[in-house]
Amino acid sequence: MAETASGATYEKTKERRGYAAIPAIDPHDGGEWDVLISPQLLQQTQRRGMGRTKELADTVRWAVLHPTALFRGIRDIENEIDDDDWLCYVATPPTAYDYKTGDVRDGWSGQVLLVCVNDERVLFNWMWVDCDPENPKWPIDHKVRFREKVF
Amino acid sequence: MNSEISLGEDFATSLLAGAAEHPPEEPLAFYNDEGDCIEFLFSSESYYGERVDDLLTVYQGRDSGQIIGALIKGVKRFVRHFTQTAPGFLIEIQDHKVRLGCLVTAGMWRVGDELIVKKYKLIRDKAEEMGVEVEMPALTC
Repeated sequence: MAETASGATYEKTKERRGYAAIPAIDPHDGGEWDVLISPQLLQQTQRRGMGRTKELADTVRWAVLHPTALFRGIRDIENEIDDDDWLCYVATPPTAYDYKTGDVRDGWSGQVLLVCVNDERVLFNWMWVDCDPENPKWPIDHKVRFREKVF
Repeated sequence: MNSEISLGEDFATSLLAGAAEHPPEEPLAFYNDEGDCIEFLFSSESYYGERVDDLLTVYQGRDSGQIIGALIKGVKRFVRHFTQTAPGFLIEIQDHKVRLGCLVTAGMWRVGDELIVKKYKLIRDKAEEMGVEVEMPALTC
C-alpha cells in the first residue's frame, strides 16, 4: 500500500479481469506502479497491424517507464473536473515502428510520444506529436493541453 | 529499450501473435470507452497527431503528408452539451450507433475559424463517403 501527498492510500499493483498490467512510473513518488490495458484496446491495436502493435509492445511500454515529463489533467473549454486526474506520459523513445511495414526505425525526430492514462489507471491511447520548439522534451501546445505538470 | 521486442514475455508474444493473423484494416473507426474517444483512420500509413481543438485531433500521414484520420475526444461530454441546445441530435443515435459524419458535423458547427472548419469538413466528408458508423453503448437514449 502506498500513500499520496494528500494522505490517500492506493495500491502499486493493479489488476482487472481481462486487462493486461504493465509497469509505469508512479506520479506520486517516482517509483513504479501498474497501469492497465483493456482487452478492447489490445484487439483494436492488433486490427491496426503489426507496426502499431509492436509500438504498444515495445515503445509504449518503454515510454511509461522513461518519461521526460508527466502531465495531469486534459484541458477543454468547460474544464470539467472529471478529467483532471487523467495523466499523460511524455517520452522521447529512441526507436519507433512504421505502421505500414512493421519495421523498426529511429524515433521520430522533432517529436515526442504521448501516452494517455485515465483516472482508473487504464492506458487508452498514445500518439506522436510535434515537440515544443522551446523544449524538445515536451509536446507542442502543452500549456493548453494539460492542467498541470507533475514533473 | 531493445530494438527487438523481447518475445519471451507473455504480453508481447500474445499481442504480436494476434496482429500477425490479419493485415491492417481500412477504414477503421471505433469508440474507446476507457478514453471516451473515437478514433477514425482511413489509411494504414504511419502518422502523428496534430491537435485542432478540445474536441478534434487530426492524424497527419507521414508518407502522404495528408490527413489520414482523427481522434475525437470527450465524446459523451460533447454529446451531452450539444443536445442541451440541439436535442434533435439524439435522433441520429440508433441502436447504440451513431454516424460519425453527424458527430463531426455537430462539432464543426461550433467552430468559427475557417481553417479549423476545413479540417472538420475533411474528416466529416471522409466519414460520410465511407458510411462510417460507430457503436457507442454508453450513449443510449
